[in-house]
Amino acid sequence: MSYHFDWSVLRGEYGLLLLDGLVVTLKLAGLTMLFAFAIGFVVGIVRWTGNKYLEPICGAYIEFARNTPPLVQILFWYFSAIYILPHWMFSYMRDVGFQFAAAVFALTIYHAAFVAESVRAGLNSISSGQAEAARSLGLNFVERMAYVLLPQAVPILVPPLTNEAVSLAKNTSLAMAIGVTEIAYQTKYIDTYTFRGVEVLVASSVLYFCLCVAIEVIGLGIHRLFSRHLDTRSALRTALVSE
Amino acid sequence: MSQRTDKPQLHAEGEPARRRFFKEAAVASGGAAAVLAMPAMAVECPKSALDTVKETGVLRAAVTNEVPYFGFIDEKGNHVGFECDLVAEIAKRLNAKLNMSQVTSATRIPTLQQGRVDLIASTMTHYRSRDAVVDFSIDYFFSPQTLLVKANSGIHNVADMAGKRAGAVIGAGSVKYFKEAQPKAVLQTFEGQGESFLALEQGLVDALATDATILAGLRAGAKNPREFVLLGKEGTYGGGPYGLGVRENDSKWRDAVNFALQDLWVDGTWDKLFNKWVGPNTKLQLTKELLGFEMEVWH
Repeated sequence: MSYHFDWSVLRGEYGLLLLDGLVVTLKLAGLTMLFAFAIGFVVGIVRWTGNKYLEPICGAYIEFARNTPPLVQILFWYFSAIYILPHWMFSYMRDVGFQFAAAVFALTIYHAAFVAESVRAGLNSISSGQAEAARSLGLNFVERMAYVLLPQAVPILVPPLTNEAVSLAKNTSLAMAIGVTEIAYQTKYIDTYTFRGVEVLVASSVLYFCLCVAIEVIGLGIHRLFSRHLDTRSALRTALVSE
Repeated sequence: MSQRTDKPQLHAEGEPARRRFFKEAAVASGGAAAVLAMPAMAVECPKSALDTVKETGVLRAAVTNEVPYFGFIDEKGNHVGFECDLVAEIAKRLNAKLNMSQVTSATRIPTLQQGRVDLIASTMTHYRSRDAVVDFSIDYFFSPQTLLVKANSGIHNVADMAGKRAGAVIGAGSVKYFKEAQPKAVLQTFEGQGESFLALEQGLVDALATDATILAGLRAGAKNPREFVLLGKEGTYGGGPYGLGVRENDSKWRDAVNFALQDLWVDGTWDKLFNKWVGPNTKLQLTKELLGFEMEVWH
């Protein structure tokens, strides 16, 4: 038995639905990326400093977030809001609908943990003499971070963080479980009305593919931007790796 | 010394490397395209499913395992329900042995199209948009679309839902019809029935909007079914007939299935199945009056 592709299903109403889904996916991925990177940098730096009080808290958070599936986390935060939030806040959010906010929250929690571990690894890769030299020059913690450590760590961090951003963009599809109308949701919706699931799946795969390639290209651009000032040795190393 | 020329060569000598690359790429992609096109070139099978069933003496049917009391996995782990019994009755009337498999809403259409089964029973409502892909038998069931609410909610009909939130499952027929019947309500969708029911329990939505059969099944599965009320005719805003799915353009087979369905309606088998799984003395507690279903019978 053969399968006859019929791409006409993507013209008109259903194609527009898929594009609506793309807009929601972009919003979801963009917001989550913003929060996940912000929180991930803070948590990663705290873990790197090894602060006696904060480090164990951050460590416990990372273990919790990294070792549970993202789908479970999305369902958990959405369905446990009633127990966590104060009543007035829950009833307000319930009335405006907070599935999008819950998805952003859950995915941020999940991906910030991975970002934090990348940031910690990046800082660890800078020789300890750099921090010690900066300290002996009289720079305080913020100055050491801003002028000495991060400028060296960020170029190293860009490739793993690009990876994380791509994985985040794809994980937004899990938000359909709580009714966020992103691409995967629209795919299922169109399939149930037309039974043209294969065509719609191909189309949505293409959308996700383009989105992820775009993120990779942006990541490569940022990597080049940050690598301009690298000393000749690392520039040579980068050149050798990319050859 | 002359160069060896006995070896077959793909490239003309002196061809620029770049052009050679494109040539190779073209050959490679041509091969890939041929592989991709393979399924489309497979020989079309014009044989009617009726002939297959008669030759082999086996009816291969797939029934949903997602809809409680229609096709679901019971506490003992068996795949049972109204639709399981229905296809068994059809097999009996075709003098065939039943070979039943399970499908979900995501797998049912490919399973049928790829010829792994000849009949699908999966509480499917026929839309014109769906009919382009498969064919449907005559209706064997009708479920009104209504509302399931909490007992103390104060919601008694569709008008009461103005400004309230309703929950449904992605792609349920109610997603379209409920919005038309009550444009002032907000409709929120979930991926599965389980999540939507959890949302009703927690008050994330004020009502669930879908087929009465599904809602009755969810109520029956609740810890305390009396906490939930299934609205009757006042809560109804549409409905969906169910048809069996058969492959496109196999009218001989569709006739055989239709006649088997009509026979089991006429001789009272349908009533027996209804009373066993759906009727007032079952967990679903639905009445024939609420459904208002009569099967069409050709004389």
